[in-house]
Amino acid sequence: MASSTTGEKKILTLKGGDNEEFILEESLVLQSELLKNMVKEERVSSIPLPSIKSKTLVKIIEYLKKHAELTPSNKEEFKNFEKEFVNVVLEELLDITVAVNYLKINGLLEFCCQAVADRIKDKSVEAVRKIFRIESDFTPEEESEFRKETPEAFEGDLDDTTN
Amino acid sequence: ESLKLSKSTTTSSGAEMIMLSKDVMMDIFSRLRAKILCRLRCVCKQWRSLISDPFFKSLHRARSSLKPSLLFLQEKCCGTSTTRVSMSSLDFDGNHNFDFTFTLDSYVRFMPSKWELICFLGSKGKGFYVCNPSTQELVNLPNTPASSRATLDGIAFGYIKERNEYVLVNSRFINNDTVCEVMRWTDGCCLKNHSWKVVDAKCPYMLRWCGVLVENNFYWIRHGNKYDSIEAIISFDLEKEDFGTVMPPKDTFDDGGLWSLAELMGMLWLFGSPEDISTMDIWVLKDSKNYMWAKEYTIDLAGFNLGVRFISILDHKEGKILMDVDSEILEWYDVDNKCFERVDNLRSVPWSWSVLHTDGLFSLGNQ
Repeated sequence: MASSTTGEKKILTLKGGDNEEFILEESLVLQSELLKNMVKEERVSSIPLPSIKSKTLVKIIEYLKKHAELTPSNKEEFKNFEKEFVNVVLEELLDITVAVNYLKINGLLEFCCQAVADRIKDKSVEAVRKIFRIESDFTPEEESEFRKETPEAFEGDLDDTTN
Repeated sequence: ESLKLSKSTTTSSGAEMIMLSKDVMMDIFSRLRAKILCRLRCVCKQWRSLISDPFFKSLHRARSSLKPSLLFLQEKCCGTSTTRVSMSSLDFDGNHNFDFTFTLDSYVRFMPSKWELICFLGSKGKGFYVCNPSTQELVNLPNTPASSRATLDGIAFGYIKERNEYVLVNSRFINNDTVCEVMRWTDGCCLKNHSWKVVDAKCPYMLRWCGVLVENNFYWIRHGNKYDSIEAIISFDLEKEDFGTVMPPKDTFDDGGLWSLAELMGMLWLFGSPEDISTMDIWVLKDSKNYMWAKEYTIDLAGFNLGVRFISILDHKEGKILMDVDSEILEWYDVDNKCFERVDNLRSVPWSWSVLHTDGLFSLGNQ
């Protein structure tokens, strides 16, 4: 299918996980390596992204728009936007990171990885398990060995919250 | 046609486990300090194996070597037989990274270093210690025939980046009794059971203090009051396992002055000051085969009008040379503007020895 056009600008539809549709200029999605390849090679006009929540997609499209407007004169403003962009609950940040990695938006991926790293660096082991929804697969013996070896990983003044 | 995205799998409790790809997890982990990674190793088996993966470790090493920190070392005698060693890591913005403190049944002498590992010499036949402050791993190396030594003269500790290998050389020359032993190890090698290799080569002279490693060659300044200046710098070729001499810059050595060598930016540098330490001349060995030295800078030290006793050179980057003056202050010397900038956000950490340090997971084989 050929891309539909209005004037000179090509328009593309992204479909989020809950079938919500987002119509945007094709030039914006070219920042995603994945979508760029799809648009160039398959000439699609609508791309379903069922595993990306609409809420996440809204955030990412917001970033793509801001990033496309980036000029040397609004660098400072963009930096502030980036800071605010990752200032969401950790669960949402991880959703965004997963989606950005999938869509291959490289600059944003780096920024998200740094944000995740900053957010988990002071967390206790238990909190990290809850955040990533990981169940320990160590035996109780191994687990108690860790607690003996690195007691500070499980107690002390670490952050137990998951947001 | 819809695209599948393997974002989540379901755990036994029904909650969706968040599955970031291995690449992304490695990217995130490579931004964390070794101490935090030691904690995250306890999360699950998958994370544990990822954090000890050699490829991940090299990624982490590459990232942290871009941002070295300062490590301040101090030894305090407790009573007659034990020493309390404290290590404190700060980054250049003054942020505190970690402290590591332990007690040893001996005195210690720190050696110059600027990588992940710290090496020091114990007294009373204890020999050498190697420590990774980031992971708080400490190993007392097996003894050597020559280990009951009391000084750092003729020792050298170096790192070969291409092979991620550390090398310790212990050479001694006393009354024609000459010994040279080498220990080399890579990541994960069980150091406490590692052995020294005795090298046939004879160290030709008494060496002064610790040597430095530049591209497979160790260099020391020769010990003695009157130099035959042609043989004032002694080298040891790690591949050929043989000693040699390097001609110093012409007419430079004066007996009463303060001389030191350093490896900076992959080259051998020679720092020299007259007895009163009023100036410092800085040479770099441009061509080690033809002994081509270039005098790069001369620093006027008159600003330190309290009388400098000792300067150790820690780093040289972006047109600045970082020096530790008398273990009391750190100064960046700006080579273009010929001025000093004090590193003044050190939170008044006292130190007896400072080194440039990179955070890392280099394992000494204890775990």
